Amino acid sequence: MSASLRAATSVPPERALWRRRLTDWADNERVLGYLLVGPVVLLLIGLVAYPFFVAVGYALSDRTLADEGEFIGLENFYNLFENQIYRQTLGNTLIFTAGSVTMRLVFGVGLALILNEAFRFRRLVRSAVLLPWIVPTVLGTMAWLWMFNPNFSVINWVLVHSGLMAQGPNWLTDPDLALFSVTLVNAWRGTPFMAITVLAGLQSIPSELYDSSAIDGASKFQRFRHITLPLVMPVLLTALVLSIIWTFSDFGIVYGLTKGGPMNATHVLATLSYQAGLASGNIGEGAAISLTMLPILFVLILWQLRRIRRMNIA
Amino acid sequence: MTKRSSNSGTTRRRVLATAAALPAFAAPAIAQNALKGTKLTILASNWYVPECNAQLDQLAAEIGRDTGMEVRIERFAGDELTTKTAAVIGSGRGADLAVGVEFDTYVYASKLTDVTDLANEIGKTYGGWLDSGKAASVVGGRFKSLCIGQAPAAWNYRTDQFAAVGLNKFPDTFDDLLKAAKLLHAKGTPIGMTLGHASGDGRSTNYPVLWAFGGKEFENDGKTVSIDSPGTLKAVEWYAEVYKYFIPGTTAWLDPDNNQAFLAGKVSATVNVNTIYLASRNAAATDPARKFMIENMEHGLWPRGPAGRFANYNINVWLPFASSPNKAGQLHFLREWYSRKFLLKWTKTGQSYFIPTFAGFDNEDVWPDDPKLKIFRELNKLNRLPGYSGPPTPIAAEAVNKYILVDMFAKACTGQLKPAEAVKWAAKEYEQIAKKRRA
Amino acid sequence: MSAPMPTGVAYGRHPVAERWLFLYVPLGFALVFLVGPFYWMLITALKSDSELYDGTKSPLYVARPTLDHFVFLLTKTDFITWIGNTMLVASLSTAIALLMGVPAGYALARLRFRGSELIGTAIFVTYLVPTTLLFIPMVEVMARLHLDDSIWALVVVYPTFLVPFVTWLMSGYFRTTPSELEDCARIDGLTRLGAMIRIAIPLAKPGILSAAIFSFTLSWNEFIYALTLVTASSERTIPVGVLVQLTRADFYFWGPLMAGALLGSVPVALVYSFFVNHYTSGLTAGAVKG
Repeated sequence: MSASLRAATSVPPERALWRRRLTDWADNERVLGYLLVGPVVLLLIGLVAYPFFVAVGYALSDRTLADEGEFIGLENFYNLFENQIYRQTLGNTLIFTAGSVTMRLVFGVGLALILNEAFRFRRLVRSAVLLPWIVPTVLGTMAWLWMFNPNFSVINWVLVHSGLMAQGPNWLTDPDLALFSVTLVNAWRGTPFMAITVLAGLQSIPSELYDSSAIDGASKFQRFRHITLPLVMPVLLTALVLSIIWTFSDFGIVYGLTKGGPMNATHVLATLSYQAGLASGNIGEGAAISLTMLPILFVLILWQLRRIRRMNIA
Repeated sequence: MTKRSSNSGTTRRRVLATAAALPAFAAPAIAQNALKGTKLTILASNWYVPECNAQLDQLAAEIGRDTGMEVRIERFAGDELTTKTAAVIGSGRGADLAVGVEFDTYVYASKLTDVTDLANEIGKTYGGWLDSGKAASVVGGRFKSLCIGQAPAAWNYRTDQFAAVGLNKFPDTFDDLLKAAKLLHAKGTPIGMTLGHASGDGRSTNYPVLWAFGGKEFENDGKTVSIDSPGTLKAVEWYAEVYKYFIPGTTAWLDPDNNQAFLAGKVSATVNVNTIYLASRNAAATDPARKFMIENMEHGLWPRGPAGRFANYNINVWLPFASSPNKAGQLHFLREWYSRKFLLKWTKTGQSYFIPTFAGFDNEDVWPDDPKLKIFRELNKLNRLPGYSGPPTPIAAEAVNKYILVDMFAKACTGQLKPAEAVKWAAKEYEQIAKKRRA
Repeated sequence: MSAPMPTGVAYGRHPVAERWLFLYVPLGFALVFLVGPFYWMLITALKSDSELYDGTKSPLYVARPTLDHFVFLLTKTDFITWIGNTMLVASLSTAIALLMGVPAGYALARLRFRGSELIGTAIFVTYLVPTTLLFIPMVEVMARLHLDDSIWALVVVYPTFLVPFVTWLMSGYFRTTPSELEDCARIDGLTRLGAMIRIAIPLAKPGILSAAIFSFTLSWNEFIYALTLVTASSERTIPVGVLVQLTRADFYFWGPLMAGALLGSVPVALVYSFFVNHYTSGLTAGAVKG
């Protein structure tokens, strides 16, 4: 401690001793480190790790809501992979995630580029585009439910009345189109987050880089590819990782729009798990379905994290 | 923040324990005093007829005044109520009673209070339980729930549009229905049947078709799958044929969709409970469109198929949770609900929305005066539960919750699978469910 | 010299046409896609029921607007209560998440101690665990803690998915901000803890703000726990309350539902718009190191 500080504090000896001890702890990397992460670790052990292991126990049993069940090993998982509905759901979830994340990426980056420009009402527009992300999922999904309604769709009304089509598309009826529709709504919800995140990255790029490249005669696209994209990549990948996690385990949108139909064409792992576990009372099966999400998520995220780390080293 | 009031002292606890242990009919005398200061939490859904909900609230308030027990009604929308009930069963806390569906009795059987004595007492009051009422509540010979009622679903159809194609009443056979569908489609006024993952209309629309052609899901033991049969195939083929003349989009129909389509005049016939009619009637005084609707719609019976005439309705039951610390309160509430002074009034208010399953109700003044609703009295006798010809076991429940039957029809209708393939697909799904559940 | 050119868009030979092609047209599409549904929600919320269910009327404008649905929502339902509850839960959860996550993020970024990398990875991994897996055991845990059927259960549970996120975000943020100022402060006599509290955290305000906004929004939208851990209608949050009071059996009250959607999002958007500038700069530094 500096002399000035020591001079300023005149306290009785024992208190000084404790004072010194506390100060040492506050300065000690190890003690402080554990102290600061301690609460988080405790919270996560108690309320995440513990329920997680309980849930794993369920997945290895044939427990139902009314019946404790018994240990059956990996039987739940064998049954799942033999089941057509599960396999279809797995495929749906991958398509849903890939499609939605790609859309969010493309729309988000595009929107960020636009919002980076100067134009009138820019601040108003920046706030307005946040709305899909802010509106409570349940309500936003219901709005889309009504917009896709086979009989009352406003989208179809516009398409038909403007002469573009004779009959509006069957947004939620046709199995393939239904999967597209739920993917679209998920992208709608997530684009603002991606856009604002990337915008932050864009705004940290010094404008001198653009000016000098313009002087060198670079085209718009070359500028984007060689300056913008590399510099914004770290932010982008972070947002991408979060998007993948959120989309892959998304429940509300499919639940609100189709409940997994038509004919299970839009079921994702989260809704299937809910249907098996809560609606039918098969806790073991529901837990098993949810558990199968983890390895896939793990692989996807590890892949992205490795890219981020490589980027930082470069 | 809500906290349960703790029973102070051992005396009350002992009294309550004694009350719960006594046969139900001896309980009333003790219950009045023992209930004071206790709480009863009831999970309910929003029934369509608002007065039915209001009467439940009034009953709760009256019981509160009479006994000093605090009765709380907490409402949730249908699908959310299922989740909430599951959470209570899972944690053993949170509520004492809940409104459920018939499958819940079977799925939760070991976690429900045995109310056989009360059920027998109530049955005697009203001339005996109907088979459907018993099937919805009895597991292993004991009543584990009490049937609130069944909601008969009828064919709602537009008399004006049917008349325009030469039909003066609703078709009585499935062949006639197919012919009618073709004529109506040609006129631009098609019919529609719900083929989406709709928890209510999904089953009441589709099970009757299966049974009418002689198909069935299970044998009497409730475990042997028998859906792969000529009867089922005929049902699927009929459906695939009539689907061509439907309004497009029914495979995405959730519960509100057929109501909305019918009320907007987009569909000339569909299967639904009386809520479409009631919605129109309530607004008829002020809305000319609605007035037109009630004057030009009627309800029809399910057509007869080769194997007979069948129907399937949603059933609501009272689920008394075994984990409840207030068994005396449960019994008292149920006794009040089923008392003559309440139940008859409540049933009449529903206008045949939910009809309690008692044989003696035919002779009671609970039926609506409106002639267009008279048919529901007939329909009330037709209910058959899924899982036939076995009881509504958890296996049958799972099949219903997974919409296997609905999807079987939908796959054949949309051409995703040929009818025979669709039946095989369904059979495989049923087998997989039956194999893993120790029913 | 003509007016200064915008930074990115129009550098080519036809600046005006390019501005339209690359800025205004895509902007138009973006607005229609993202904000269009809200315009439509407004129209729906202002239409009387008879106009709403009339399939022949145009859905794009309202012939005779009425405020009935808004009035119904605000007076005949518990909407105001739900907003209050949701705000309470979201604010408290966010506060807890920040109180726990910011110091933890700092520790992981700045302090060296055994196992810090393992702990960091472990915290991130818990984020991958889906709610649908944890849900039933969580309900049982809450029951054992006697916290179920209460809004406080949400305040305890929400941090489980907020804290890992905040920790991860803040650790990345701190890792990229220079530590010189803190080193100087320590030379001057502050402990590491002091340096964190007095120097690092105030400087990290933008990052903390972003974390706060994210956390608030995530809490605002959560549904499953809000449904199962709260029973009393006076304690419900918006997503749950809306479904039970604005639908009845097989009827949805579209007018009030859309009114609810608007009232439940536009005010929050306005509040966020004040923070958007801070928020965007906060994100940059935090995201680079992931």
